[in-house]
Parts: sequence; C-alpha cells; structure tokens
Amino acid sequence: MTRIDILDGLLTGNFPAALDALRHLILPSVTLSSYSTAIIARMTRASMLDALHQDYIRTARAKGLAGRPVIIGHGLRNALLPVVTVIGLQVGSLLTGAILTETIFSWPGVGRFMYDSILFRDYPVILGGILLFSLVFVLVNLCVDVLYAFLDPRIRYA
Amino acid sequence: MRRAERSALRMAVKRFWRNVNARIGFGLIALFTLIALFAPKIAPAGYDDENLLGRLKSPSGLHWIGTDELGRDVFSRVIYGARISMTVGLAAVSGALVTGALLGIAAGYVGGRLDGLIMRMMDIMLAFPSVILAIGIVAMRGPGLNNTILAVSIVNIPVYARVARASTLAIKEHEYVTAARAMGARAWRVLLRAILPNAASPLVVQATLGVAGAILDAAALGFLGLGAQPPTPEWGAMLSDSYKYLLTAFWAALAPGVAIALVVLGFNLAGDGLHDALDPRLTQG
Repeated sequence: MTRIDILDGLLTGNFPAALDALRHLILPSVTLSSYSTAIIARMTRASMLDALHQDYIRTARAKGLAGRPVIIGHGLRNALLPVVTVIGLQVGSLLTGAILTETIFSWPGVGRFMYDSILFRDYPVILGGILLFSLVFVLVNLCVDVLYAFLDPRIRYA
Repeated sequence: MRRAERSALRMAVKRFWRNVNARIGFGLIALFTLIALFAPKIAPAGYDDENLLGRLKSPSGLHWIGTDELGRDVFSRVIYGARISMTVGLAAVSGALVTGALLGIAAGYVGGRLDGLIMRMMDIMLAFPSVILAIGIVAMRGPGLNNTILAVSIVNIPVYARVARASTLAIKEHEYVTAARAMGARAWRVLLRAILPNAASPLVVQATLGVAGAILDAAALGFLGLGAQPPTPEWGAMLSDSYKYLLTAFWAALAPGVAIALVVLGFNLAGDGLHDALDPRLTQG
C-alpha cells in the first residue's frame, strides 16, 4: 500500500513481514546512528555538568527535592538547549552517512541513488540530491530554532 | 613580554603533557607521521604489486594483514595510505585555516558592510551539510586527490572564519590594540602582530580537531570513488573496494578502517588536550 515494508506489514496484518523488515533495519540503523550517538552523548555530558553546577540546582536540592526530579527537571531541562543544537547539526552527518550506509547495505534510497549517479557522472541527479539534502538540513535546523522557544520560555521570536 | 609569552607556552605544554589522553593522541599522530614519512622503508611490498594468483589470502608471515582482491599486500597499502591521508588532512586544514582565519579576522576587525558580506557568505556555506557540499564540488571539478583537498578545504573555511571573527571581536577592544594603532601601525600590522597571535589558540585547537574531520571527509569521498583514483592506496577507496569481500576476507576492509579510526582518534584526543591546555580557566569535569 505505502510501499514502506514495515507499515504495509502492520496495515495488512502481516506481522511476520513487518518484523522481518524491522530486523533488516537494525544493522543500517546502528551503523548510521553510532557516530551521532557518541557526539550527542559527549555534548549532553558537558552540558549536564555545566547545568548541575548552577545555583538553582542547589536551591532545588535545598528545598528537599529528590535526586531524579532535580536531575531531569532542573538539570536536563536546562542542559537541553546545546544538545538540541548539536542534534540539529548532526542531521547533516546523518544525511551524508545515508549515502555511505545505503551504499553498503544496498538500501534503495536517495543516498544510494546519489552514489550511483556519482559513479555515472549524472550531474542533474547529483545536484538535485545535494539540493534536497541541504533543504532537509536547513528545515530541520529551522525546527531546532523554533524548538528553542519551547525549551526556554525566555527565548521569544518577535 | 617575550619572556612572558614563552613561559605561558611552557605552562601550556606542561598542562598538555600531564593529560594522559593528550599524550596518547600525540603519540598516535607521531606514529602515523613516522609511518607516512618512512613508508617505503617500512612496507614489505609496493602498494601496487599485484599477484592475481594470491588474491584475498588470509594473514600470514609473508602478508601480515593478508592480501586484497588483486593480491596486493594490505599491510603495505595501509602503510602507504598514511601518506595520502596525512597529506590530505594537513593540506586541507591548512588551506581552510589560512583562508578562514584571514576572512574572519578581516570581518571582525573592519566590521560594518565587509563583516556582513563575509559572514553571510559563510552562513550560506554552512547551510549545506559539509560532505554533501564537498561531493558537489568534486563532482563538478572531477574526481582526484587534488580536488578532494580543495573541496574539503573549501567546506571547512566557514568554521575557521567564525572562530577567528569571534576572537577578533573580543581582542580588538583591548588596550594593546588601541596602543598599536596610536603608535601609527598600519592595519595589516595590527592584524598580524597584535590580533592574530592572541586569536591563535582557539584556531590551533579547531585546526587540530579539523584534521580529524578532514581525514574522515576525505575517506568518505574516497569511498564514493571521488577521491584518489586506483591504484593509489587511499584508505577510503580501499574500504569501498574491499567491503564486498567482507564475509570472505574481512582483513582487507578491517585494516584501512582501523587505520582511519586510529588517526582520527589521535587528532581528536590531541585536539581536546590542546583545548584543555590552552584554556586554563576550564574547570575539570
């Protein structure tokens, strides 16, 4: 129906097919995500360390809040801004990684299409792919900018 | 002044050397630099010595990391590959550093319309994912090692321009810049003697980390067939040639992969160490 194997499997009730499609996603996903995972983890650590040294954390502990609400609600909430920025920028390496990952796993996506057109010097496809990827990249980072206002109510876009 | 500079540098070197990770990073860089310099002495075979009867042979006393799909000694090719990757990484970052630093310092110092023009151009370049833009540049100019260096260099210019501009904006308010101007120094002299040395440390840190990124980018281009052309033993190209034989001859793909990872790790560790050493205000986390 949708030509997306997992969705089709679920919609038609063919659960073994959906499960199989899901299993074929494991290795490409791990390959593609590992690089960004490391960078996001590092950024979150640095940002959390910074946030947990702030005075309001001491205030929160002083008024008797337990460990988890302080760390999640006061620490992570305030540490999230730079992390979200990095996630937005990482979309760039995910798009690049898609070209490599789709090539290695013979996954018939835009990335693989671009790789093939690079081999055959099919310039319109290469340029179109670059434009598409850049558009996605810019749009995601626009969303990140909008997200700032939600994460930090002090930020307002007039 | 001179003595103070030297002791500040010595303090930074001391701090760098106390950091175990930084030492490991420096060691890895030194190791691969030596390998690159003395590749013909170290490698037991040439990088394009084919032996079609000994294809995809497993590691042995003769071929330490086995042979690839054309019967070439993988160990020798990885050794020679260090030359390519180190050259590409250093050349691309040098180009980007010089261009970016000049643009950024000029933009930050002059300000006004020039600042707006330069930084908007940099913003446009940053709107593209870097490797995607590099692919576009190489696809237009044709594949090859020189175009790879050029492309990786161009896409990294905005990073250095922004770092240089940010430092310049802070530094140009200091009294010694006003003093230099009051003494009648020309603009280029103020830029090179007063501003550049004081803006250098964030640029050096960024450049060290940048070499790691440049080597990865170049390997990605090589993997896509846009980098060095056969039989040049470029690590990315070696990976793309050999990953098809992963199930029967994993060594041919593993060796260049490990080499890329080690070099990139080395530059990242050294860059982090430099960052900590050159910025003493940093609290240890």
